[in-house]
Amino acid sequence: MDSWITLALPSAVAYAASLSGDAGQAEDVVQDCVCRLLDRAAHYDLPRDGRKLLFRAITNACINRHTRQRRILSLDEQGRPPGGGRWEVNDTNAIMPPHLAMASELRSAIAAALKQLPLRQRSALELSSLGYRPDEIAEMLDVRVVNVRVLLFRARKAMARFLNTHLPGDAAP
Amino acid sequence: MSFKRPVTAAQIEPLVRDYLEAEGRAVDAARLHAEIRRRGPGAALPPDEDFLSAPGSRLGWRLMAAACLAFILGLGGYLALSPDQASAYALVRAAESKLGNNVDRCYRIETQVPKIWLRTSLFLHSGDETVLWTRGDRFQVTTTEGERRLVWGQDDQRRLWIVGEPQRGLQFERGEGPNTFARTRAYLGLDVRRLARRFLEQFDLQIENRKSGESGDVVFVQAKAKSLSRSQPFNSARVEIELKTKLIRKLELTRVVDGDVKAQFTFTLIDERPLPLESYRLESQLADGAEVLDARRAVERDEALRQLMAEWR
Repeated sequence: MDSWITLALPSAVAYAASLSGDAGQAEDVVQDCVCRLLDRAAHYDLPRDGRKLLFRAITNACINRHTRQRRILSLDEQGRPPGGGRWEVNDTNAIMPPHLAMASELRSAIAAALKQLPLRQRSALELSSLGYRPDEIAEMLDVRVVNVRVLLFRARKAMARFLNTHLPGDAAP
Repeated sequence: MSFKRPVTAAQIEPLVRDYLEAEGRAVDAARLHAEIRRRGPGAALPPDEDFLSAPGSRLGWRLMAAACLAFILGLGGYLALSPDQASAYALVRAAESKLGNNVDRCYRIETQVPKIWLRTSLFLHSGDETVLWTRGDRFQVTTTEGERRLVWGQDDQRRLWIVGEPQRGLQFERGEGPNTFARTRAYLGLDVRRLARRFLEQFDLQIENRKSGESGDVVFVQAKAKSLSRSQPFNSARVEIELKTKLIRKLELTRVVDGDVKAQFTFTLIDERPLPLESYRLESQLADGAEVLDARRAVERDEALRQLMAEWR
């Protein structure tokens, strides 16, 4: 009966991490959402709709957390990189296969590109990438289908612009 | 994860899908699943019946509900004002407006405050008699106790001045007044017009009584603070207003904490003759050749203030 949970968990955590910007927090969000769904299992057909309901609950939880979060800037944060992470010293002696390095760079660039999107655009784009149709996304975000298309259009455009500017390589325009 | 440059909009979703799948592969699904099973249904979570409703719509409804409630309460509150309440507000507003004419008023001040306050607040001593002359934000307070006399006030440039003996005056520029003065000002509310404004904004007003006197009808307005914040210098007041002239004849300010009266200040009108404007300045209280200690002699001034406080303690 729980197979839908096992199947959904990896992408659910990745989705929550991308929305919340915090991998540690993402697991908590997903756990809470799954527990809430299980709590109300009698009301839903979870094997059929569980995955969709889970993504919907995660979206709401992340938007709620994002809205309620009151960011307090401390003096320490003045010295942090714009992404909010820590300054890390690159190990220039480390040997990385070129394709691995490229994949890593691409992943970082996509993460950064997603992060600069407004939450609803990010959420719409990720749900669409995970295979949800616009009408399903509209239901999850409680917006009209036409709005989902607008969100997706803007998100794709912003992502392409960001990636073309920030990805290294000779092919950069 | 592969891509062709330049990246087009059509490539975005596959790239994001690859990215999410790659991130998902790092998730220990078995551990997480076990954790969820351990917590199980009914885990100790704060109740959230709406966890599947979009937050934006919920927020919208809440805002709309709040707006409706505010409208209903506001309109209801307005319509629910009794004639007495309405006239209480109108009276205080008229008295406040009257005070804006920059007329001189003289009030006798009587204070009942805990002794501990007097140790730190020089200006709360009412002595044998304390008289306040006020004109807009200018004021002058004279406290006498036996042979001793303390005069202090605020001039037209909002400079605070203090005179303990006519040979020496202390003067503080606007913004550098001592803390003890700030507290006194908060409690005594020396600017009567500002006090009246505070009643209008932060207090519920109700006409308590009406009396006919020699100088015409007098109305008693009871003011109760809308919120009982502990930081509020006073939370209850009684204002006597002359109906014809809208003159505030008497003002009682009371600070009540946990049901006990902690402090009370009573202002009673005793004079309304015009006073020369110079009377609100430091110079008017000093003898010829007296020294003025101001910001240029801040160390001496602070020492003199300490001495004054010690004398009046």
